[in-house]
Amino acid sequence: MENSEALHWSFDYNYGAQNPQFAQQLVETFLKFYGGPKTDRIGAGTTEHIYNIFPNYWRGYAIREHLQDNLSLGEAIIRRQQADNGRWDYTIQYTNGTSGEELQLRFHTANDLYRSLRGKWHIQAQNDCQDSYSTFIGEGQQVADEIRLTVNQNEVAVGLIEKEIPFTCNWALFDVIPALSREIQESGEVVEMAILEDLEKLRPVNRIGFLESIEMGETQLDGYYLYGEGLLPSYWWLDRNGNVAISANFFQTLVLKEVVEVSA
Amino acid sequence: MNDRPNILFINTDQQSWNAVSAYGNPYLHTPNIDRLHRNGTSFMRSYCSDPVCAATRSSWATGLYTSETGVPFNGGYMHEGIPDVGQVLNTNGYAAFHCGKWHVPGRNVRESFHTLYYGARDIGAGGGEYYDSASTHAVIDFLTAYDGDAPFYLQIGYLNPHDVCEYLHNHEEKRIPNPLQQGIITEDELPPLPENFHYDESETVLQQVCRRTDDALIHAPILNGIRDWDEFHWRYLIWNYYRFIEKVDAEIGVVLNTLEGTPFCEDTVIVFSADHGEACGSHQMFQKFTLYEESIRVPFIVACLGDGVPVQKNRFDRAHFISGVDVVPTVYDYAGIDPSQATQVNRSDGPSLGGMSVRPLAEGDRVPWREFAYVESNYWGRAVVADRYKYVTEYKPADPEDFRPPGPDASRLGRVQLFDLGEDPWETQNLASQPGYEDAIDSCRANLLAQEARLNRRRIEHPNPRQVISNWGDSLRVYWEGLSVS
Repeated sequence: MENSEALHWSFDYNYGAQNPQFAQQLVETFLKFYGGPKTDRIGAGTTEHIYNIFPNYWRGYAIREHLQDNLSLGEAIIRRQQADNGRWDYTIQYTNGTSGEELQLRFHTANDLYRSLRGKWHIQAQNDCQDSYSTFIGEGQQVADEIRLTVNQNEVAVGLIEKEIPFTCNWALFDVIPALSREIQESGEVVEMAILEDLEKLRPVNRIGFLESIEMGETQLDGYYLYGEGLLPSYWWLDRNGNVAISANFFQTLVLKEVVEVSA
Repeated sequence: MNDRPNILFINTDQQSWNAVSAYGNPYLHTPNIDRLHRNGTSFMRSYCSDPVCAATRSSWATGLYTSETGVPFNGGYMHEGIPDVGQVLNTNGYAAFHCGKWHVPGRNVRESFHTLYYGARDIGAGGGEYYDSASTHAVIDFLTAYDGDAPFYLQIGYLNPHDVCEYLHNHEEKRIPNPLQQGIITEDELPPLPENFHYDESETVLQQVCRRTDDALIHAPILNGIRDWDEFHWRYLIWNYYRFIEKVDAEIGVVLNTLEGTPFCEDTVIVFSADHGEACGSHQMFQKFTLYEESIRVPFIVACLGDGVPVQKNRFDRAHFISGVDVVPTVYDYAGIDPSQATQVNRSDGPSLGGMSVRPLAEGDRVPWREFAYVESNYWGRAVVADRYKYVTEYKPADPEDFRPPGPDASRLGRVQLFDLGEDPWETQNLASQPGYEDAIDSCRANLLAQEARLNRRRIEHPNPRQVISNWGDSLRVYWEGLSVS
């Protein structure tokens, strides 16, 4: 694949990205992973998917020290492990050099298609800016149909969810969309879900549907969209092994750069 | 509890007055701004001082109009001598905090406020997707831990829905497929075209040169990139704009939820507003910079989630004209600070505040009030919005080396747009050249000139004012000369 080829519209946000090139760096990351030995999705044990985070709009959002060579503003690591009782334990590490925030999320889900949130979850944010905010620690849980968050001993009401609608964290969508992909494609229907964005903001009305299939280099990718109230559309591109290869929301594009299997 | 309330000023960026579900807009859902309305008074005739970020924010910082602050356009620098709200509050018994967007060139926010969060790289014009969530974390951390003796003033500058600007930039170079045709979205989800999508083309020269011509001074690449937009593209722009507002509404919700769980809930007064609006297809226009209602009219709510601060709740005020310059006097009023004293901090030639405290109105008191809103735009643009008529005009550029914002000077006034907001609230018919409106125009012009006579207009502060103002002035001059030839 030539770097000069146009990317798909759902992750081609080239505005103001002349140097360094958004398309070039996205493709380089993609080919570095997909040009090497194929890494199958691993269903058990601890697996880490590591993503490069590219800013969709370069102008004004650069990390100053990267101005000349590196568009990436950080990394997202999705680590999950299945416990003996079948439950999935997730740890998300998200670093964003533009906001200065490093986010660590820990949560548990049921072993179902929707990776429904279970038990308590934990949010830890650290910020290395020169201002007074440096750490944020929260613990959340669902009590009946209510979502609550506790911060510095203060209880914060997050919102109410409807029991009939599947409910998970946006970061679990990296597993949910692959799990639902066959059903969505074959039925032509959308799947409705409630999402707890970054474990703290409730997005109660969302739908996931099939977009189209494309080829990128020698890799076939199946695209899915996520539309919802309070969300800008995001687009999710799956390889044939069920890995989310590219996930683009309005402001950032995550490109898979590494899958790590860690023995259980 | 302190005898003076805590003050929370929550502001969004680029939110028009009507982009709130509590005000009857069915195409977006803003449960948290709605909650502010239920707990306070919504002022439905609220206008920014200048429909662009840095300019209007210089008014928020000082209580002055933008021709007075040195920032009558986005690149201006605020004058050193003018005290800002952070300095004044910090020297008058309050602890003043800032979080998020500031965007007042020439004034170091970290020197005026205690800053909770201002980004790894100082936050600029946009980037809500990067910064707003971190700002909320910083505010939660603050509200749940603050144990200072002084009452606090906290201003939270959210960036969204400003990210709609990036949505528009994205269309400079490419097209996205029609998600209607792809079955991703349905027809009934898309908001309709605005009532004033078709408009009266007899606009000011300033509007033509800045926003309409192929080589428009402001965002020509966007303008030319969207010239062939069809109805779907405009409606999808509005749809996306509303999602940005829902995003920031959720951030506000987390802040309100947190406040409710703290002892500060009872005695914290909340002021909510936006720096300017978004055209969003009205008059086939995008972004701000213009003097149409969508660009200059913004939400303005004074609320208290508890009962410790007297505020009339769940009430619409449609009678009073509110301005962006009113934020500072309102804050000073709640803080018990004499505005005339406050303006003397660090300066010797203090003008009086242009604004008025909204507090008595929020408490339901009858007080003498202004009869029109006055708005400046793009250095030369002016609007006067009165009870029935709205008057938009412009100053013609004069001496290229005069870097003092124009006015009051009737001889330099250019074209006029006059709208009867009673009959034509969407500003679709310019009445200025029609017979029978001479008195209305004369009255509006008199109000404009009287208002400007009260201003302490200041030379713009900029390293190279010629680069900005003179070049723009040259473009305007060429256009005017072309008109006189034709």
